[in-house]
Amino acid sequence: MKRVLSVALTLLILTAVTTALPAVGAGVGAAASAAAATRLEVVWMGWPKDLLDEQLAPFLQANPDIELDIQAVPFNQLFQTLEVRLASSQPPDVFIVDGPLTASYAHRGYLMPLDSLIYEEELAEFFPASVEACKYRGVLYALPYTSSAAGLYFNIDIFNEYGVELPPQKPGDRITWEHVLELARRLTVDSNGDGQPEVWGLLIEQSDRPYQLLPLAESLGARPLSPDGSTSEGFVNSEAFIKAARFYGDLFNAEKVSPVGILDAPVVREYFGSGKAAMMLGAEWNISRLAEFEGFNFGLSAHPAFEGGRAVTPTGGWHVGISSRIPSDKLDAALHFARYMTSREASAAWARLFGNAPARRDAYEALPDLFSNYMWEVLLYDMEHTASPRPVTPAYLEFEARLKDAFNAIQFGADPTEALNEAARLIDRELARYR
Amino acid sequence: MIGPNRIGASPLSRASLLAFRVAGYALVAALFLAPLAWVLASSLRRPGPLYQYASPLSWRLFIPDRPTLANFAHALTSLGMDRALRNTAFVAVTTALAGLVVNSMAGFALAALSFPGKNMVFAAVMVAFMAPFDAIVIPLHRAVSSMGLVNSWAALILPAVGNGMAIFLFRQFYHEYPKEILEAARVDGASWLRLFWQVVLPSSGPALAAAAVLIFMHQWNSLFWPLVAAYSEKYTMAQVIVASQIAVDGTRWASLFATSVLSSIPPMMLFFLLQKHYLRGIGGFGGN
Repeated sequence: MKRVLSVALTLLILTAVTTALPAVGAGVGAAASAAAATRLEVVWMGWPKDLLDEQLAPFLQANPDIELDIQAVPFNQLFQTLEVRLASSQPPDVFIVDGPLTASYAHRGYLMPLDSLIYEEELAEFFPASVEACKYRGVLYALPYTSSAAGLYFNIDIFNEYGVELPPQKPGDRITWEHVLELARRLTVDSNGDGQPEVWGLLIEQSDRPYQLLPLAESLGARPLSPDGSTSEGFVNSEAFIKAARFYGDLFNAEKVSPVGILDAPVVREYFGSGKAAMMLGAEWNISRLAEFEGFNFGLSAHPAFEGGRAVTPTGGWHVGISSRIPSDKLDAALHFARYMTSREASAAWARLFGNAPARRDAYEALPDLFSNYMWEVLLYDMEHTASPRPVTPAYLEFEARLKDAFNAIQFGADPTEALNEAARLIDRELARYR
Repeated sequence: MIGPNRIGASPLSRASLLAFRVAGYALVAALFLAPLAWVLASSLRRPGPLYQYASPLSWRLFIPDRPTLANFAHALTSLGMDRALRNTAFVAVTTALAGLVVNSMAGFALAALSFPGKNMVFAAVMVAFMAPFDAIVIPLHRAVSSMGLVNSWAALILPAVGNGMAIFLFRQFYHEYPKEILEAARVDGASWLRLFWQVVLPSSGPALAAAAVLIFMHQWNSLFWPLVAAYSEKYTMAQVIVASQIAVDGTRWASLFATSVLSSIPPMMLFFLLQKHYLRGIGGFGGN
C-alpha cells in the first residue's frame, strides 16, 4: 500500500513541477512582451477557436502595437460570466453583447456611449434595424457584429418520397402556419405503429426560446410588452398571444407532429440533418451547418405567417461593446478593434467561416459566391422587409427567462392561458425593479 | 432475506442463480459503459452526423468505420487543448498537494483536540461545503478581488485548497485513531505538530488518497470559476475548451467528443491508481 501511495505522490509532485515551470515561464514571457503593446481584454463568444484565430489574424498582423487577450466563453456560460465580470472592479475592455441585452447593459452603465466616437457615415452600410438595436434611449452603445434571420427548411427527399408538393422557394413567397400544420400532419410518419414516429413533421430549432417563437404571436398582431416596455400584463397574455401559444403547444401535444423535449438546438439540427424530420424552422446559420451533412438534400422557404396575419420574422444578432470603465489610454485601441470586427472584411470573413448573417450590406457584396443563392435571397428579403427585433427593455434577461419557462411548460402540455398569465405576473415583477 | 425454498436449493439452481446475477451485473455495467463507449467511438469518427446510427440503434454507433485520430490532433493543435490540459494539471495537482496539508491538519484538529467553539467550527465547515457554488460566487469573487488576486494562478488555486468535504473525511478518519497512541506520544513530550507529521500522517494513506482524488476532481472539473476569476487566455482550463464546442449556432460534435476524452484521461488515471485507497478512505465515512 505504501509503495503505491509513494508512487502516486511522486507522480503528483512530478506533474506539478513539470507543468508549473512552463506555465509560470509563459506568464513571465507574456508580461515582458506586453510592455510595449496595448493589451485589450476581450470577452467573446466561445466560437471555435481555430476559426476565431483565422478571423483575427489580419487584425493582429496589421496592428503589432495591439495585443488581444481573447477570453472565449462558452455560450451556455456567457451571460452569467458577463454578469459577474461587468459588475466586478475589473471589467473586460471590449465585450460581445447579445443584441437584446444592449438596453440592460446600457441601463446599468456598463457600456461606453459611442455617439461622439463613431461618425454617422460609418453606420451607413449597416442595416437600420441592426443600428437601432445598438441604441438605448436614442444613444448608440454598441456596433452591430452580426444580424440573423429564420426560415422554414425542408427535406426535399422526404417531400418527394411521400408525393407532397415542396413549399415555395422565392423571396417573400411564404405559406401559412395552417398550411405548415397540414404538411406536418401528412409527413409525420410512424410506419411501424409503435407510437414513436420515424419521421417528424416539424422541428423548431430553438424550441422554447422566445427568439424563434415571438414571431408566431406577432404574426397574429400580439406584442410581448407595452410600447414603452414597462408592462407585460395584457400583452404577453393577450388573446392573440395565447392563440399563437396554443398553436405552438398543439404541435407537440394535440397534433403530435413535433417531438416534445428536444430543446437543444444542435441536437434538433442533428435530427433534421439525419433525415428524422420533414421541416425545421431554423436560423440562417443552418445553410452552412446543414451543408455539412453528406448527401443531405434540403431547401428553404420564407418564414411562415398565420392566415390573415402579417409576415413577421425574427432578427437581431451580436454586437460589439466597449466598457464604460476602459482606461483612457486603451480607448483608441478598443475603438480600432470594434471597428475592425464590424468591418466589411471581418463580417464577410465570419460569414464565410461560420455562416452567421452579416449586419451590413456591403459584406454580402463581398462574398457573391456564398450569398448569391436563393436561400440567402429569401432570408435577406425578410431581413429588409419583415424582421421584427425583440422588445427593448433593461429587464430583457429576466423577460426572456420567464417567457422561455412558459413556452417550455406549454410544450410539455401546460395550458397556454395559465402559463402566460403566470409569465406576465413574473415579468411585471421584474420590470417593476427597473422603473 | 432467505426464503424457505432456498435452503435446500440444488447445485443446479444455485448455478443458474449465479448466472442470473452475473448477467444482471453485466447488464448494469453495460448500461453504464455504453455512453462512455459511444463518446470514445465518436471521438474517433470523422466529423459528421451524430445520430446516423443512434436511432434506430445500431452496433455501428460503438465501432467507427474509418477510425481517425485527427479530432485529437485538431483539439491539441488548433483548439488550445494542449495548454488547457497543462494548466488544469498544474492547478489540480498544486491544489491537491496544498489541500492535503491544510485539510488533514484541520480534520485532525477537529477530531483530536479540545478547544472552545470546536463544534461551531465543524458546523461552519459543513455549511460551507454544502452551500451551492452559485450562491457564493459573487462574494467569493469580491474577496479574491479585494486581495488583488483576480486573474492569477492564485485565484484558481487558493479558494479550492480548503475543502469542506475533505476536512469532514479527515475528521471522520482521525476520530477512529487510537487515542492511546496519541496520549503516549504526548507523554513522551512530542508537540502536536510533530505528533501529527511523524505519527499520524504516515498512517493516513486511505484518507489522503480519498482527499487527493476529491480535490483533484473538483479542480479538474471547474468551469465557471475560472471564467470569472482567471479569465486570461493563458489560464484557460480544460473544461472551458470542452464547453466551448457547444453553441446554439454550431456544435462541433467531433471536437466535443475528442476534448471530452482528452480531459477524462488524467482524472481516470489518478482514480485507477488510487482506487483501492480511495474506496477505503471514503468507506471510513459512515464510521462514527
